[in-house]
Amino acid sequence: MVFGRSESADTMSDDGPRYGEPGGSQFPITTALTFPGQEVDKSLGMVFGVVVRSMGLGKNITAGIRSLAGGEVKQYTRLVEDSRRHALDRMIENGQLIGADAILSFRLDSSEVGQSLTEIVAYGTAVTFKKQ
Amino acid sequence: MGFVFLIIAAVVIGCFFISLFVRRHGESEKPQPGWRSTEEVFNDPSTNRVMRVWLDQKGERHYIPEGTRRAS
Repeated sequence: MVFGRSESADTMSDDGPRYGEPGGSQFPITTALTFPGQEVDKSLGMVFGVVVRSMGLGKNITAGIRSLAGGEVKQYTRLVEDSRRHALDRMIENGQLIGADAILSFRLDSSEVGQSLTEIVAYGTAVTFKKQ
Repeated sequence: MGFVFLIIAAVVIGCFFISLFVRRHGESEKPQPGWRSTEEVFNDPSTNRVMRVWLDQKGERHYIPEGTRRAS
């Protein structure tokens, strides 16, 4: 992910918190153990986002043909990218559900479930911050 | 027997074509009025499009292409 500004971010103001910062436009998530400038008040425990996705018959056939030729198999890349987004979204939903201010120590894990099914787990520690 | 085979063949062919046109998770072409853009931007490795996350009124995340492509 790139945490940068863009001209198309027309609804964002130049002042105030940036993306990923508490109070910003987006739910704060970090792979680090702490959030700079913030003090953890309470740990709410782990939150997960799990998804198992399939490519479907048509893309499986085209991906199978593509994999014979070698190189990147875009169909599988797309499957994993979609799974990542889906798992991340679910983890954020679960974090918001329990009233978290942020998620620390965010991680992604993956494995296979059967043939051509990919499982992605997004997880982290939901925390609340001390009010400043 | 032939009838059962025809049904199975129809289901398989149907699944084949449906799978080619399944929408990607949370992806939309354009943001709807009232959606807020975020600074979460990334390159989609499968299409090389630059994607931005937008939030709707309920706080749900949507993935919108920025209209620019990175060189592969």
